[in-house]
Amino acid sequence: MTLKNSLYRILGNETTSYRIALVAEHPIYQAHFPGEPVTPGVCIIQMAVELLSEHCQRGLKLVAAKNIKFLAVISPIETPELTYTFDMVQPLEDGSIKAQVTLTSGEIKYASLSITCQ
Amino acid sequence: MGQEIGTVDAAQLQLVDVHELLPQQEPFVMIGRLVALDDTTTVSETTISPDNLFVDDGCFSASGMIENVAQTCAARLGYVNKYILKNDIQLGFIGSVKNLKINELPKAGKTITTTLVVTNEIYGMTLATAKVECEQKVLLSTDIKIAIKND
Repeated sequence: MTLKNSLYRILGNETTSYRIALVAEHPIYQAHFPGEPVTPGVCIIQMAVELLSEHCQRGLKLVAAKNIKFLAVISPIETPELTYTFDMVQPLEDGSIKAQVTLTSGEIKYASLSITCQ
Repeated sequence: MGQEIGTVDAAQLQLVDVHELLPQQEPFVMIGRLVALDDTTTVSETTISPDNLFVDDGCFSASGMIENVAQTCAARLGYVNKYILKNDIQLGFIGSVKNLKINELPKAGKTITTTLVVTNEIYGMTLATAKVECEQKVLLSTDIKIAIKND
């Protein structure tokens, strides 16, 4: 499932960053976890890949990740707005794209992702 | 290493409903059943339902596969909690994913086998290395860290 316009909406973007709003009413939040909504790590990864697709204006799928770190839990109620920043986006010779991404809200860093998409 | 488990009888293990071992609920349950569990290794089997949340264009997505690995680890922790320590199921979160490689996505209807080997357990963190296979092919390999929520 595409998470854009389902689990999150894009509020705006700058050259290398996207500001998003989480949709707390999404069924995923009722299942993960009942009574204690937490954004699943895999959805944080998928949102990064979807936004990288927007940024590169082509469909991308995750093929590898050197390191993805989750630093703090993201509740859609306590932290409804987040910013994905592409610190580095590098096209590789085989056509894939390597990216360094950070996820923040205000001063707090929630995740860092070093991923390769094709 | 963490709690001693020994080797859990496979026939007995397969009778356990994974929903009892996981804090996640449907439609966010991404494993079918546990088929092997011992002091270091956990094996799960999952038949990919076509209406799974993470089936896109007829294939189980990267998100689904990574969550499948995380829940194989969560089901292990849940089994130890429920059947050995007689505790409640605790919330767990992915702390990190390292050295992830996705070679292929399985088609809906296929059964995948996930093998997770715990390499370290310390301070409520479980570090493991895992692979997902289907029909003798390795679809995904990764290192993963799962953190248990501190109450």
